[in-house]
Amino acid sequence: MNIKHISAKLNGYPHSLTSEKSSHDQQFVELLAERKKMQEQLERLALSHQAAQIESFEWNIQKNQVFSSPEEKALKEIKGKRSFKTFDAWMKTVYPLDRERVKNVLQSAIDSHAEFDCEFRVFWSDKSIHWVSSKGKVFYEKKGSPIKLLGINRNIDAQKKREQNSDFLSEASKIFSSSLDYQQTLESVANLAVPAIADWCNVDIIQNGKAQQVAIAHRNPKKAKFAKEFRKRYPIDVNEPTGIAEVLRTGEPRLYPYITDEMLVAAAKTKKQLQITRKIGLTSVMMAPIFSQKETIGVITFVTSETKKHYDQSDLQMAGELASRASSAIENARHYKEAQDAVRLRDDFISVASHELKTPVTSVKMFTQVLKKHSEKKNDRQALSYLSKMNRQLNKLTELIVDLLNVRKIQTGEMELHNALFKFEKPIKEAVEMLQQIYTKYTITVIGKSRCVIRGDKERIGQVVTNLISNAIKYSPSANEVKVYIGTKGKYARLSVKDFGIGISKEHLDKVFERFYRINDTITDKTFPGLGIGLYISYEIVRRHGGKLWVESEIGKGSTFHVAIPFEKRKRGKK
Amino acid sequence: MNKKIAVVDDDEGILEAFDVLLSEKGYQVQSSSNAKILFDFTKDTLPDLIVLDVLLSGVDGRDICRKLKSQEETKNIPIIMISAHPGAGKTMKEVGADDFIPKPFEIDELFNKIEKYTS
Repeated sequence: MNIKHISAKLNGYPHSLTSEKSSHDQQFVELLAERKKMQEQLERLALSHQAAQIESFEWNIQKNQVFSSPEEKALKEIKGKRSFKTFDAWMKTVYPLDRERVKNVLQSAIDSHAEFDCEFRVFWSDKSIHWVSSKGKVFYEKKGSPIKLLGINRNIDAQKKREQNSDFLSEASKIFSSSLDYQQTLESVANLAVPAIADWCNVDIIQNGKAQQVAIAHRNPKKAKFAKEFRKRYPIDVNEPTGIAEVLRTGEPRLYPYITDEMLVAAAKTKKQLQITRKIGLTSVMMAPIFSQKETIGVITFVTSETKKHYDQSDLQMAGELASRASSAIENARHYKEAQDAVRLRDDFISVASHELKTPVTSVKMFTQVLKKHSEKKNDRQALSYLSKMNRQLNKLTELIVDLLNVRKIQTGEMELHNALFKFEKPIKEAVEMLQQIYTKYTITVIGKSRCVIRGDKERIGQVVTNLISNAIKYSPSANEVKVYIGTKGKYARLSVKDFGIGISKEHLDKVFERFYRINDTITDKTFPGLGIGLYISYEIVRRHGGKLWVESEIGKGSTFHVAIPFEKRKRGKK
Repeated sequence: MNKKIAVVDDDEGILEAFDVLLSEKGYQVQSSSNAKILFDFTKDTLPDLIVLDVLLSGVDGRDICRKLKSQEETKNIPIIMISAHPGAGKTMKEVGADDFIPKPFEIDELFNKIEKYTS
């Protein structure tokens, strides 16, 4: 056998170079040709696996040999290399934090005859870390002991990144929606990004035409402090062509996958600044704009330094997504803050207004009463009558002002109720007495009695009774009596105020306790004066005493307002 | 002899009304929007009663009250505090005030209180 001949045959040279035809030679040559074909096929398979990022493997459990792929194995054998690793050696290629888990899954697959299915990280020969999805099947001897595990490993870096990004984004959304505080929201943006997707994260917002750093997070807290100082010393010039200024202007995200020294030199304004930026060690940067009502109001900057990761387009896309969610969150926070400020302003306004309104009312009332005394002395009946009317109106005015303030108090939860025991009858009888003195044209009759003792605010309950009786009178222009029933029913102290006035129609019935609701007299088409908040306040006061306020009414016949308040105790008196 | 009443309130309209109201009733009135007058008394000019507004411009009437009650010369002068704030009445005792009247008020109610403290 001549090697030259064989090689000629293998390489497709014409038959003429071969000499003798012997069956042995023929077979051998054919074998070598087969082998070469197989080698080419294997290389092609290996290449396609490489392209698809798939690798098949075999773990010979009994011999403790792990082959990375049969084609690899064959190739290595041909090249004369050792084609397998021991199990332990192979384990060393698995990322340390995943080793335990992989071992457990393997063992469980072997024990339970189930498929092996695991995702874990591995080191490549360049020491970079990659995610792998490994699936395989265990083969057993007849007597049940495992022989080998055959499987496929698939690189899932891209999928993992997508998953991580998606998790990251939903985590971000959760955090964003948990706070309506503007500053907190911005800080949470930065803190979320580090160290998940960046070593450094800045949030800059335009305030007064300047880009202000409002939040910063760094993997190394010492460096965060330093970064803050750096920004103070070298504020951003919004006219710069590149960097944050550019993103602010264009509203487009920017990716700088590789930060070179030339870029640092170009960006630095002073030698000292260059020195510092070099020290920081920027590897990769990406910036995403924050919008508010279609305007760019800020930029989120993500920087890698120590981890030496380089951002790519998919990272930029995610950063853009994050910035977009941050924009919504910031927008919401802003709106909330504005609304709160408005409410606070309004509440303060009402508080101040009611105080201010009472001042001129006070002096007018004083002068009115002085004149009243004069007219009494002079026996000027007419003047006295007019001045009395004026005084009554001033009292009404004062009531309205007080109502205004009470509504605000109830709304802001500021209305404090006393917590003391009092006899249910007391505030009722006091109110009746006072109102009877004022409204002499009406007869207010008290029917029944109650020995209940209530825990709560006697004055506020008195306020409720006054409100109900005044309403009864107000809405009975053609009647002249009001009946007040006091009693006990079950666990409740009961009060009912019955009038014979215009009544309330069915459609108004459940609205009367609403704030600012006022009834129209459909007959005279007159709206009764008042702010319409008395019943609203009364309802709230009764509710806060654990009770209920409701009404029964018939149009044209009159209304009865009922109050039920749970009592603390009941005095049993002597007859 | 006529009783002397000092009135301090930051509203001119109210001060005028007090002037008229109290002098017609026979009292000697000294009114001002500036609480300074309360610390400028001489032995002869000490009032028999002070009516003091809680909310004064730039100064808290309650602090004035506290101060007056801590000074030897003025500590025995009864003080009635007035205020448009409904809750102000509750803190009056703490600062040493003798009584409280809310704005607006019935003048008879005021006179009753004045008589009570000047008799």
